[in-house]
Amino acid sequence: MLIFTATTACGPDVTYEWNFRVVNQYWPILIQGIQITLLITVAGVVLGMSWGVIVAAARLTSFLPLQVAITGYIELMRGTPLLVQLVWVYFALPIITGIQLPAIQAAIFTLTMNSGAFYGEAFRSGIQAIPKEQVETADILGLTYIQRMRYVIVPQAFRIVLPVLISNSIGLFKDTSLVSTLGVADLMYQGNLASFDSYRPLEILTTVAALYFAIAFPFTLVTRRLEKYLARHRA
Amino acid sequence: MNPHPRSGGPVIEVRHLTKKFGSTTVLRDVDLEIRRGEVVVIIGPSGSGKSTLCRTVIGLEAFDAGEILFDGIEFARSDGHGRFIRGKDYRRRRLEMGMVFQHFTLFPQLTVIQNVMLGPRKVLRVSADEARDRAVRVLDRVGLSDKHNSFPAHISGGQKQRAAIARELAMDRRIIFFDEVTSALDPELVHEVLQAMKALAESGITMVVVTHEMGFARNVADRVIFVDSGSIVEEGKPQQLFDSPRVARTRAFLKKILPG
Repeated sequence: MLIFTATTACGPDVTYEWNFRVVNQYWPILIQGIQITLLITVAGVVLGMSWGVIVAAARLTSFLPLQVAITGYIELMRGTPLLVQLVWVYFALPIITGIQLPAIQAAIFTLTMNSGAFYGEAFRSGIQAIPKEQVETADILGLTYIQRMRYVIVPQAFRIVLPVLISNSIGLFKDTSLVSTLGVADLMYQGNLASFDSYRPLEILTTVAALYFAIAFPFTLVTRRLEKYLARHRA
Repeated sequence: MNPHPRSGGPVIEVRHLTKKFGSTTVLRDVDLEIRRGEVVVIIGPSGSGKSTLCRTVIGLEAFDAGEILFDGIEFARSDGHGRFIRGKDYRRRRLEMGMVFQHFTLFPQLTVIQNVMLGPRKVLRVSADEARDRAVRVLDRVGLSDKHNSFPAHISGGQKQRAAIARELAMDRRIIFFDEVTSALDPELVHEVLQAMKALAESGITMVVVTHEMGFARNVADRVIFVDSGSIVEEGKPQQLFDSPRVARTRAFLKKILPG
């Protein structure tokens, strides 16, 4: 068991007695919170990437109205805070459309829309980074459109954007903490609950931060390795 | 006996071809004939339209006027309003034409032999064994027997270009276009690629070569074409064109690029 006690001077009269033992009784709800956080992250990554493929395809089309619409959507997602988007989908959308989503679904929907814009831009830049000779060579070779995508464009674009996809996903993972504002019982939400309950927010929130970090950091390391690997293997 | 008869009938006939990029005319009413088994070298200043000519003939670029015949049958023509109409058999004809670019030709995520096998497998739909046999044979022909499993990132520029040539050979092309294939290479690698192309020329395959390598043009070409400002200025046997060019513009160009 980890016990951590320290004394910090915060001004002349106030001393703070750190006591991490208080965290112990909250592990069950923190673990529940981690499960919800991971669920929302995985849903956001999978749905966001799938939607991102469509977003990229729409941006690369030559059909102008679709291009304009999708560009507007991307800028809207990039130019407004995610917190505002979450609150808007949960509270304002029902008023306009009459559809009231449960909090967790509203959260996943908003994260999908938001991350889809970023994933979509990553896919687009990956496809556009492929030299035009590659596409022309595939064309001259006689590959059909589907075959060109499958054997030439997608494998290359994927390598180019993989580091970006992972770093976007890490960002998404951290951003899920915002869904607690809708009352979704994620790690952040449970951390807040435990803080109020224990009157020990510093210990609890420090623990919560450490948990987020412990999950995200391995992926950061993977990205770093991957970037080095891909740099060595690019033609 | 002549090992490579060069007196075949026309494979490609280009008639009154005009091509514009926006308001710039890059090809101006070009007429051109490529005969079976012939090695045609196209020379000219950069920006003269020689690459565009090849790209248009092979179907990578639309054009604004004129028509292209393949074996005497319409391959593609312009409807006169900047649209491009494919002849029947367009796809099959196109598979008989190959092209090697200046760079980025090999697919970087595939090994050399996978690069060569991709077309036969997925386009010609031959069996895996047959595709492998072909690949082994053509890679041997360009001297890359020891590089089957190398990735493009790990071989030299000259080896990449030879692998790209092998890939076209594996497709059983009747005619191969070479678009400045040695221009991006270090000087010491140029020779091996030209050597592979020369061997190819001797095998009797029809070749259209855009190049700045005048030695290659002189020694290997059956016919040299000088293109400038989107028009064919002069064409003839290499000896004639290099030693006694008839047109002043050809003389001026050759004087600029040939030493002495």
